[in-house]
Amino acid sequence: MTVTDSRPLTDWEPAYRALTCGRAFDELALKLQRQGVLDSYGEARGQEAGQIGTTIDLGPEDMVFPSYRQPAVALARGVPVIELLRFYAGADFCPWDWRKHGFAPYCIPVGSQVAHAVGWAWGTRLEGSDAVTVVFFGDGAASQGEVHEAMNYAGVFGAPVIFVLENNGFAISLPTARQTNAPELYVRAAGYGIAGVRVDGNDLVAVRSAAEEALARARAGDGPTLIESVTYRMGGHTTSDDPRRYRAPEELLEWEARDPVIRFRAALAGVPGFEDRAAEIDREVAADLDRATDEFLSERGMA
Amino acid sequence: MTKTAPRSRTGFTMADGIQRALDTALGEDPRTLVMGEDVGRLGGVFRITAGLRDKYGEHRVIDSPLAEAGLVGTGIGLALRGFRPIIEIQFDGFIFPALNQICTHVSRMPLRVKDEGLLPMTIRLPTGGRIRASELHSESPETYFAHSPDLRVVSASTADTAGALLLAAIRSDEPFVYLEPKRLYRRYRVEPEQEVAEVDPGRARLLREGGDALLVVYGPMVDIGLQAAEAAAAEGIETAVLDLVSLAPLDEATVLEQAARSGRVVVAAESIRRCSISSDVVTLLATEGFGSLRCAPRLLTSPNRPYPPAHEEDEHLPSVADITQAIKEVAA
Amino acid sequence: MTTEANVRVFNLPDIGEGLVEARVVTVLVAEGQEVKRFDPILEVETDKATVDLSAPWSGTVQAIHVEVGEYVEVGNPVLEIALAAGAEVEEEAS
Repeated sequence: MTVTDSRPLTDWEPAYRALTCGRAFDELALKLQRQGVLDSYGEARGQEAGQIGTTIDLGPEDMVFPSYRQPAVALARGVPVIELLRFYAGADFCPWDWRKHGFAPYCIPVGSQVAHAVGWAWGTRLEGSDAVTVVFFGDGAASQGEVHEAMNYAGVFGAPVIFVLENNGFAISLPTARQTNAPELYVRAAGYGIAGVRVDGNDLVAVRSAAEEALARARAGDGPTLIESVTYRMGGHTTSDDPRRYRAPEELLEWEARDPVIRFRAALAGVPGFEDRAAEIDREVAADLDRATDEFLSERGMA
Repeated sequence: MTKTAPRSRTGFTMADGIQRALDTALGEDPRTLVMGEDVGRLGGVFRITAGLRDKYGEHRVIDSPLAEAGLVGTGIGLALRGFRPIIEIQFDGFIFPALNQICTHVSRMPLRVKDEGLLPMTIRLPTGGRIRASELHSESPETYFAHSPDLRVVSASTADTAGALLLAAIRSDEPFVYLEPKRLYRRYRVEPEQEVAEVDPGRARLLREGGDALLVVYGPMVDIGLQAAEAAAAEGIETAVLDLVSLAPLDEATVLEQAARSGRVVVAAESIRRCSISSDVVTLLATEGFGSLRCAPRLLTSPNRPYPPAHEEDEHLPSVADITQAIKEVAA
Repeated sequence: MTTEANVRVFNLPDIGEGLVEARVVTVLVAEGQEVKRFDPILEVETDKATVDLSAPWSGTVQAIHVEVGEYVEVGNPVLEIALAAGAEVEEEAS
């Protein structure tokens, strides 16, 4: 099944704020890294809609297990900007209170976090809670045996977990077409006896609609869902990468036309009062990031 | 031709002690879970968990799919959530798929989030050889875990303390790897009144006094070592036998203190020699205890080769005779 | 182990990777009974399972050293078989 239907644009503000904030943080982090203030930064530009669409409707009892490329989700879950900056500055492996924010520590060994999410979700089920767990991993991680094991466990135990497979086209330099001979990754769900869906990961409305169904399924105790969010990593794997060495500039141009932030703004353009409210949110987000940057630089003795 | 004398059915084995500890742990804390391949319906391939599923239900004693990385990985998630998973890995040689989870997460995640009590999980692992088993059923993989910082590694060795040692590991908020020498599961029986109620999982244990030499052993080498000490005693050499119990971290103070008594030390283990627990003991003696040594320590291990087919295992592993000889040499 | 030229003693084998003993559940043969190689002779319960043991040689059961309910240690004698004529040859050929 491919999701293309839209849901009504009610409650658009939190999603808009999260998307904007995620994008603004990505731009800020890239600049700070190029000034030598941050160490390596894993760029997330282009993937924000898939990330926000799958998590914006989670509650405080729900849990997110990130890989290491979801700053937009961290911020939307309430992780303060400065704590995220401290992570990328090498100050701390997990500066945020992961339990309070329902946002687990970043996980560097690719794919190994998926089983943690399954165990956590299974635990919520054993407790009789209706909490849902979301875990992020990529098309590269999907080749890891551990990811296979984790999804199989989730199927066996009916764990209330949503697997968000961010198919962003690349595992560092390796294109998805060379990662696997399978043209679509969501079909793997059938191999575990769980639900699977492929969605345009740059269309926040479509992603949210797919996630809504997965959330309902998990909350009802009807088991996990694999959502393949088809997107594009517009930046490098990290700030040490050079994507020009392995992909054509035209490809990036193509995806820039499908930029998820531009598309969500376009989708909201007809909503009465959108422009004014969006401008306000943009200003608030920019001010928040400015404040956090000042505080962070002064903490590092660089103000 | 003599008839087999009926064995005493009183008392209990190491297997019984471990099983009772699991029963106690499941009974005292509803967040304790037993997980592993075949641990439920079958009771485990060594029958250590027999009966526990009937008593506590399939949600507390959980048959897992056949996938060790998934097993330890989901165990981590459950531990994060506040459960206390006790994970049984079927055989020593099958834990390798889970090494990524153990080395990159179990041993590091508490530090990652600055919370020592983050992962209250215990990984039970039958280890060791001399049971004529198939390939990769007789391994001594303890060094892999000892080399993962912040992971505590202990080994059972006797029936009277195995249960208390396991309970200490389970009740601790730190992650433990608990090694079970499978040859010793049912080899010896002790009487109920001999069961030790509490064990400090960080302390080495002196099993035998002796002023002429010190033998340092752990796990499956403990009963072999005691036999060697007995043989040496028959020739007039009194050997103290120290069971390390904790392989990581080492109880350095006790090792040094005991080594200083005679200054003559033999260290014996089933594992290979290179980068081993036992070579770590010798390093400790050389760097911190050199002044008290009266001769070079002897180190008896398997050669640096893969564990051989069953026909060759007796030659591969240090024997009672090998250890007795080494004791005589250092005491000479 | 052979007590007479054509009598062999069957000792309890380790049939389960490190087993120490087994309890005799059923004795399936009687002294004086003829058995063929691989005929079931004994049902035993170990710490792992209840299984049948079979005759290692063809011949006549000369003596049975175990009783039902008894625990037998691995390596201890279970029964003795007087080899049938040609049994030894058959074994060597296999």
